Amino acid sequence: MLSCKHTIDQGTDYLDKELGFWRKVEMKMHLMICVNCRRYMKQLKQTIMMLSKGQFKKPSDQQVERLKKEYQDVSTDK
Amino acid sequence: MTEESLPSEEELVQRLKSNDAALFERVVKEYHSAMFAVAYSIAGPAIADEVVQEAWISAINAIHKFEGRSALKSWLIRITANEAKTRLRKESRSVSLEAVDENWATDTRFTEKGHWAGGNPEWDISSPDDLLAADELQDCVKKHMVKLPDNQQQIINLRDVGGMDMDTICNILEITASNARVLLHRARDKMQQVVAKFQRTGEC
Ligand SMILES: [Zn+2]
Repeated sequence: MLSCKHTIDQGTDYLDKELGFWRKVEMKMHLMICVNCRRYMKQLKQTIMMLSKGQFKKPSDQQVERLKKEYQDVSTDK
Repeated sequence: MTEESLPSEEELVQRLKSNDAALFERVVKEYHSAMFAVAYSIAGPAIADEVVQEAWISAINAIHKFEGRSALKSWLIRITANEAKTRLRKESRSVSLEAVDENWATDTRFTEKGHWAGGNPEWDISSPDDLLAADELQDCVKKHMVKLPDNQQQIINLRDVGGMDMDTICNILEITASNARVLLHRARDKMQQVVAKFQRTGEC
């Protein structure tokens, strides 16, 4: 039986479908009986989702203006 | 988070190629943050802003050649990562993989037998929108992202923040797929712990 520690250690491989057949079966069985690891897997997905949508540093208004100007200059060159 | 979502990829690229400045501005606002995170993790805080600026300029000059084989975002992230890499002095960019297993053996979340020592409680804040709306939590996440070891920071930013595929990431960072996956998991696991601790204690 896979330990919880080993189960969560395979979390990324499981989500990315990188586990071989038997390891995947082992992991599924563990998740079926272990609420803590099930929660962990859900939380791992939530964490990834959060990172993909988070705004860590918004561009300043000046940066946006400068880039917009650059874009317009390049476009009108053509 | 954006007020309004961007049009479909196809329309987006088409309009960017035909001088739609208003849309370009929205694209900048949408993707700048992820590009900054990638630049920061590869080239460091001192030149991250410059790198992103350069990346945008390269992108502006190349957009008419963009064929849509990858998503626009991944394309921008790849330009950023390459720009960041070329800006780095050679000696500082050796990626150390030895530090990977730093504290696996002493992880206090688990008992000696590898069971959860104190269980793993459900999160109170759990939907993506609620997680993103919790300002203090987001500050905490940011603070810990930049504390990750360099190589973990690079991978999690390229993969999860930047949305790039693993093959391209391995090429950019010049590491093997199995190392990349281990590093990615260490980084994700650490961020899960940061969020979990914040939810449990309200502290960062
Ligand atoms: Zn378990």
